[in-house]
Amino acid sequence: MLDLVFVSFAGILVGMLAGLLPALPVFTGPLILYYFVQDYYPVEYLLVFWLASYSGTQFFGSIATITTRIPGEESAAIYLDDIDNLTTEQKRNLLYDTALGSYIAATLSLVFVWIVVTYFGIGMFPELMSMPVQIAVYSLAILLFFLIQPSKWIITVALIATGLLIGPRQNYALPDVWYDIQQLYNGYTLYMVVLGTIIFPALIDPAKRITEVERFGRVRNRGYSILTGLRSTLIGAVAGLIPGPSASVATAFAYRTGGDSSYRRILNAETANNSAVVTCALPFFLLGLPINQNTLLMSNIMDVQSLDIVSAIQETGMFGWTIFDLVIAISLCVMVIYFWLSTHLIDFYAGLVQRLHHHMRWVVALILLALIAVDLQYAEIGLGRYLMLLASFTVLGFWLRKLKISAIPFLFAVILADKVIWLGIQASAIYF
Amino acid sequence: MKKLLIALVAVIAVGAGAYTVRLANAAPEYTVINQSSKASPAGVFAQAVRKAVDGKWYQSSNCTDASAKFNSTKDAVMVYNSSVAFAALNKKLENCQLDEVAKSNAKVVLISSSRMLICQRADANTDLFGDPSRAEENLTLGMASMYAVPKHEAQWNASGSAVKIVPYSGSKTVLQALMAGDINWGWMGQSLALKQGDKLKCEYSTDPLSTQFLGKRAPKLVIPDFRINVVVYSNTANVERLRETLNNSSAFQNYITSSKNKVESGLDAKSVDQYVQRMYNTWAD
Repeated sequence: MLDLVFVSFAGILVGMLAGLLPALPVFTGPLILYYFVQDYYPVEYLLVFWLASYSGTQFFGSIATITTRIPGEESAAIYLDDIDNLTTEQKRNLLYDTALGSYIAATLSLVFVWIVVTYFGIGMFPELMSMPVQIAVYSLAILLFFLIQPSKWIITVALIATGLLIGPRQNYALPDVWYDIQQLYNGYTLYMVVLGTIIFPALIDPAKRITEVERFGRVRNRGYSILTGLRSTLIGAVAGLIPGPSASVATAFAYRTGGDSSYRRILNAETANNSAVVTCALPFFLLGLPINQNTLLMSNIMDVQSLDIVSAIQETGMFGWTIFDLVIAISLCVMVIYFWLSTHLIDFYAGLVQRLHHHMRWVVALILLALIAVDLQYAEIGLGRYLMLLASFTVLGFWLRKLKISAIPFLFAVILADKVIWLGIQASAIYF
Repeated sequence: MKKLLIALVAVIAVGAGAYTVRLANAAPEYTVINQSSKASPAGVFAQAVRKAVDGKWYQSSNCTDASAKFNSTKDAVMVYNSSVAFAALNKKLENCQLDEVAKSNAKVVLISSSRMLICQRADANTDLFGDPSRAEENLTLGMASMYAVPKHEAQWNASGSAVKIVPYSGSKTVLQALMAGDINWGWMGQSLALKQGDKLKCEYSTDPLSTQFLGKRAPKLVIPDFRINVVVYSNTANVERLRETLNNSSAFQNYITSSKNKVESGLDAKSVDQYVQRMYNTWAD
């Protein structure tokens, strides 16, 4: 039990830092888990750490944005200009209200996810994992990637096709030509693909310098509207189920519901993204289907651990509860802690962002190098081949960034390739 | 003073002697090389070996890589899998067969076999060898892709089963598809199948000693006695010691029992190699 408490606090610490410091991506939590993944930690540890760290980025991302105008995570960028319209007193109220909104949204979404997985999960309906359902779900997921960049659909098709071509692993059922192409990329790791296509290109963005930070002291409630909070929670919960950058989509939708009030726009946006980061895990828990970078990384971690997430969470854990019940119960407690932390010590957080922000790029670079060393240690290839593959993914990442094209469809296609190709092979054997 | 010096020299000599004896008796640092996928049953077998010998781990990207690592590493322990060797023959990959043992002057430490069960869901009621004319039943049997080949399906059909073989990545995915209702029958590892308890009805086995032996019902199947052989071999100087370590490891022995592996004293590397060749001659295109 003590171990789980420690894991929860470690997740909270990582979530706080990843939320406050823009150089640390929202998927810092799962990236860190890669370091531990070879030692076969219990699945509840991995899930508690993951949910805690991911939710924390949204709680603390808004604090960094409102206090310093540096968006702690990407979904907060939408309301940067609105912050200039607010007085210090309004910001003080907003800090409290966003924390409360985030708490309500995250808690309700956790309960929603628990109900769906418990009462409509694989234990009750094994047919959820049947081929027709999976083909429908995966096809829908792939189609929805076109929403990320609708005007560049040809590029999206090309990225998905490339990902599907190189993605399968040791699939002996493939035709020989395809098998040989797959062998060319044999030994790639998901961490390597994320590094090359997303993280390295993002590191070159110049860091904005923070000159002055206001003092906020104690933050307090201004009269939070529960009804508006529920509406934003609902928007976030639905948007969270859309593959891709679900938190950003939720933020954008909820932001528009705030009318002319900068205060309301920010509050709604910050409520919705907390809901989205929880519900985006629903397809993962229910069907083992990852729909954004975060769930994608967790899915890969489960693969490395040889765990089937759908059945693993139904096993009995501590106190005779299922793993899933335990994870949700702890996560609900973590949200209470987050609420307290995000309504206190605001000046400390703002000061921390101001002090660390410029140096973080180098800290992150060092962390990434350390993680590469770990990844390499457990990869199925040597240094030379690792660097060669990493270089090829990095070139692709920079090229896509230069053309302002999202690498997400490629990333998803690579990770989903194995499953999608197997489904295709099995469907053709059964139906044709 | 002289006595003190003599005493000092004596102490050093005894210490050095003891250290040398200890070094000579110390277990070598083994490197366990896994040539199968980490998540596969053979990968789990290799992990059990690594834990028993407290050795280092090397996950190879394929058997060619595994062979290169084995030949360049002192006290290397290879965990060979007959299914990987068969797949490698199919895909024309080199250095994947057991003739590598002789080439590298290595010695076999142990050989184990595991068998398959052919099961359907407990609530299902199809006959695997029912009337072939009732093709509308669309009877399906899921199995690992390397064996799910047209020649194998033809042999099943010739044995009186109108079954259509569907390829999967391994026993776990076969089980998932079976439970989801995608396929009627699943060909899966004995250990995994038995863990499902009363959720499955396993009516056939590839174990010739079983009363449900598949060969009794389907005499035209060329390899009804299908097995997966794991061969552990090493280039360490003292293979006996390594064998003893595995024999004395209760964790390893527990693993062998729980995974339904059977240590085969009657098999040698040559017979496993011949078995892989037989699979290739029977099923390959």
